[in-house]
Amino acid sequence: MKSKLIFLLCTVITIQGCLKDDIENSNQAIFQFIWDDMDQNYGGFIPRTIAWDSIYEIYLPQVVLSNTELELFDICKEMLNGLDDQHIFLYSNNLDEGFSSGEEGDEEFTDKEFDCDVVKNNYLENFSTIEADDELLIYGKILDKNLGYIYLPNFDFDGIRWFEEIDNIIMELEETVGLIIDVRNNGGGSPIIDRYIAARFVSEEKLAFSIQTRNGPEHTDFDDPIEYFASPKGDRQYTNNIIILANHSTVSAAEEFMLLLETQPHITVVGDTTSNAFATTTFDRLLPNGWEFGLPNQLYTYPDGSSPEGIGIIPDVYVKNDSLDVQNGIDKVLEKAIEML
Amino acid sequence: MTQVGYGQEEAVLSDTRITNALTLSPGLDYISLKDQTFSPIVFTGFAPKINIGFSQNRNGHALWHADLAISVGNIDYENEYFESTYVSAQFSLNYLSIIKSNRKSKIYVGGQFRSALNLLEYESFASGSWFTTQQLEPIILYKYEVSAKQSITGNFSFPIIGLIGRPSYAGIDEFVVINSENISKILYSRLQIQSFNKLINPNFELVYSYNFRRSRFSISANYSYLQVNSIRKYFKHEFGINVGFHLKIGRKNEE
Repeated sequence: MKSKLIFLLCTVITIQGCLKDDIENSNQAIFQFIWDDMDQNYGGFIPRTIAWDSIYEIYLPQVVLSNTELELFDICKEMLNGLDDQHIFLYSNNLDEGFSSGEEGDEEFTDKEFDCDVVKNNYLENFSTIEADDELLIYGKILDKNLGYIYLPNFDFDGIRWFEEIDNIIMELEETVGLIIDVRNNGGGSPIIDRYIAARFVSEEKLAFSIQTRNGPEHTDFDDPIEYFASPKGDRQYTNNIIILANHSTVSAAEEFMLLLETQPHITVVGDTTSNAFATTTFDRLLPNGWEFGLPNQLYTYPDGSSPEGIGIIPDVYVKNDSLDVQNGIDKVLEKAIEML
Repeated sequence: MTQVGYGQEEAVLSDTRITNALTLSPGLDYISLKDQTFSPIVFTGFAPKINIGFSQNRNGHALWHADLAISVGNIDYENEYFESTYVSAQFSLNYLSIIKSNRKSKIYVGGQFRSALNLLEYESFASGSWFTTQQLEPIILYKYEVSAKQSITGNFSFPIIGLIGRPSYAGIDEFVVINSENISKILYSRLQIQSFNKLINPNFELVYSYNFRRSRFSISANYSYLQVNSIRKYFKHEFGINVGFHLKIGRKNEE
């Protein structure tokens, strides 16, 4: 009996050891997985007019010649950066290095183009703050004007439902004749939050966009579109004139927020074109070499069938700060909005 | 795992006697898991487990058993970076009837309903996946009486049909986004009926029991293999050891 039990135990341990990784820990295998995963799941090939097969032909020979993890990382970085979609990301735990596709260029410019302290110190006569994830939502009145201002730093959710304060904020600002909603440098977050907040600024229901998710290996394989309407929700809505401020670091859920609100006749967008990373369903793939890789699998389309992917949201009025403006305490984008209201 | 172990004392009761028992059974599972929705790599680790059960022995001829097992732990990859939270909950209900017996051994066969949930989560759902099932399975139990107080029981079950829930092709799609505040809807909607070739889940268990007058002590080892051939495949080997304390309650003679 004892020998039978030992045999049974050994069998179980042997069987458990039979489970193997799907990919080897080699440069070529890792590259192949990333390329295949993108090929079979990425949602933005068509609007971004990417010939993914050609990309393979370009980069595979480089991978074959690569020897180190760093060499592979640089090759993959160059390949993925070409898509300019911040929802595509790669992070190496060994190298402690990572990137989001196209983010480097965005940050380089936008960090210098917007400073929240400039707004607080030079343009608001009084303001309040609410903790929104690790950042501060700022709201108050523009100096010497009966105009409201709300800065939404993100749409992230850390368990505290800060976004539900929006109804109280609107109540405090409802006597103003116009409102500026600032989503510059808003890196996005949960669509639940951006949709919740946007509904408080809607005056009439309108079809805003549709979302489809990849459901097959072909680049055109998507499930049925789900239509999203800008609809008024909540106890009260702010329906006086609104200007949304955006820049190239307005990303993801912040862009969805704008897709909803740009349908409204009382809302105008001022600033720079947004980042263009719309899908909200990115999640990590964990690879045997310690890399984490993520990609979005959705496609956003306007009611006319065109897509903002690869373009971003183009402002109604184009204005940009330069770094010298910000250093001098001037925010030309905000000043333009104040002038328009 | 089901913990279908029945003590010696119940088996020798008179023909009209029913014995109920409550079971508390802590244990430890070793898990080896690959969920292609989650990652192409294999995660392994130990997860503490607790089983709570109720069993009824109807004079040794028929056995009922209900069991709830919950297991939570961290499983990781062979590198130092990827540690994931693993959650498993399982409810099973089975009925067994004796088909053969002699002085030392008995064989029972019956049916089992099993409802299971497996969740994998990495860094606040930066990545995650799940598997749910409601399955029906035949079960066979062999019991060998070592002595008046000791017995060894082995049982085997495998599903013939199951209603399973897995992520869609995309892993996370708009349905998940819309229902992100209603986890049960995500886990228990869009279910698919699967059978032999899509749902492979044999379960083995070996239980040693020692009977006292009002209670029973057991040590059990179990092994299960789970393979779900959905769009992204799910593989799991699970080997567990449990120590069980069974308190006999409500013993009565049936009219």
